[in-house]
Amino acid sequence: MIKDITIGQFFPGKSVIHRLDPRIKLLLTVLFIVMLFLAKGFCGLGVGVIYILLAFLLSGIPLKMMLKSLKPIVPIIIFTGILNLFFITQGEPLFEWKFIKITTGGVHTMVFMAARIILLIFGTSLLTYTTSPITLTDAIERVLSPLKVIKFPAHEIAMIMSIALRFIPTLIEETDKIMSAQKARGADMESGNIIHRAKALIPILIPLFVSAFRRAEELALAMECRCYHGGEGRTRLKQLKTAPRDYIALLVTLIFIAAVILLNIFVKI
Amino acid sequence: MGIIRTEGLTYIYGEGTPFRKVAVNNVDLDIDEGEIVGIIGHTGSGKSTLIQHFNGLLRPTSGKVFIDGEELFADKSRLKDIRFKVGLVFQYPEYQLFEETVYKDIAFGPKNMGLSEDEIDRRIKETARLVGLKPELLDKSPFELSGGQKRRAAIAGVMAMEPKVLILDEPTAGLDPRGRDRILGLIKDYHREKGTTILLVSHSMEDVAKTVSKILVMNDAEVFMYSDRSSVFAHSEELMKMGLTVPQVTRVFDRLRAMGVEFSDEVFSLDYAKDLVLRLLEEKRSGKN
Repeated sequence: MIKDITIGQFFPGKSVIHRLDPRIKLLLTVLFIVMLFLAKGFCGLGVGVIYILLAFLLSGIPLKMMLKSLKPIVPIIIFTGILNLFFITQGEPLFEWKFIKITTGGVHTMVFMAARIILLIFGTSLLTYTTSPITLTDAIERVLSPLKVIKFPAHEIAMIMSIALRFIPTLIEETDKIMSAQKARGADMESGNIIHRAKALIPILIPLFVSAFRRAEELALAMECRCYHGGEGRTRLKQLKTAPRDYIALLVTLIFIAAVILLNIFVKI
Repeated sequence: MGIIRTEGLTYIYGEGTPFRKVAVNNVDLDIDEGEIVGIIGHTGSGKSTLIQHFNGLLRPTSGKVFIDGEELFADKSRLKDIRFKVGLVFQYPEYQLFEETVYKDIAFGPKNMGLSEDEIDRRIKETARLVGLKPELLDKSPFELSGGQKRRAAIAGVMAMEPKVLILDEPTAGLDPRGRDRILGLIKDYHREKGTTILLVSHSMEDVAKTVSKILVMNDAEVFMYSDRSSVFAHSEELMKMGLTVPQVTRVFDRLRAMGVEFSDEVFSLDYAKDLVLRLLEEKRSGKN
């Protein structure tokens, strides 16, 4: 059943990483990405590996979950791997056949890029594993709010994101219900060619759209009834507060970045 | 053997996850053809899950379901045909309307059955009459109808498939009293005219008592009892414990009987109660004279 799809991948917990201020976590993720792109060699990436492993251990997220986060990007890794392998022609040739030429440079870049992508995914997954979607949008709103000076709608964007997140499960449930209802009327969605199947979606999509619009209207009305008029002057239930642990985390991250820069200068591999 | 029969029917949601929940537990049932049955139970008692097994929308975790003597899921290619024998009207069925006109929407089910144009036309006109939709409404968009009309159009969409069993899940939910009586009335009329087996799911005893002859009480994923109205209502104390009530009017008359008023019938509806009271008063007066 489509109900079984999980949206977001928040993994509730009470670890240090979970308790970090979401704004700081967002910043740390950005810094981690910077760290990865600063690294010029495998030693630099090694520092990234140590950093993210440490963070995962602290968060108490099972390693299985960590590997699971890689699943959707396997095709991307393979694709970039193949491109790097065949189109980089620096270094010693390893293998040549007609127009295909594989060099040490190609292999080196392939492995390096794959490692970098994997680490990137680990970093961002750790953020979504340890931060609930709602807290995350809250943090995004806060981080973006300085841009309000140039009329950037930070609050509105955060509100749109939270509403969208809130309604995903509702709409999935609704789709499920409509599908059952149409199946009960003999709708056949599992057989036939592509055109037939696309047509079979009409009895599901139309009621779904109708109900989505209805819900949107009801929600808008309910919000207006409670005098919602945008973000101005709103206070929040959960105030975000930074604690000493946030500054420690920031400091540790900066030390790791410094280590990467030093490795770049002195080791160069 | 009845038209719907189950043997040890069990359904478990989310087996193997922390969210595992037994929704239907070891249900043995035998519902006879032509019966009009009320399925009652409080929210989460497993009513809706149970009925979705009767036309193969859910596959039992264990146990068997027989429709008209034929086992569901024994042969997958027969599933669609069996589905046409059991018409299922979901909760808030008006949210499944999608066609340009009411006519086309009612035609959706019969068309999927592969019937001829003439037959489809005949069925649409007949069911529209049965549910009380005026012919001129048939050419309107279903989204232009009123709430009650939409609901009746959606029910007509299932009735037009002329199933041997018609299952309605909370058909009166969210309607005003008049709309409710109208839907219940048309269900009764349909039953009288077609003799179809009808299963009416509800959490309102008042609705069920007015309409059905037998009642199936679900409690905590199990069948508490399946019997005729009066023997179910005789267990009023147990029903109360389950969060269900015996209709108000039945309770009033039970109390009257306890106080010594003599009458033999069980009272389920207000109209009947009125007649009974008038009759009793009449008897009393003539007895005095």
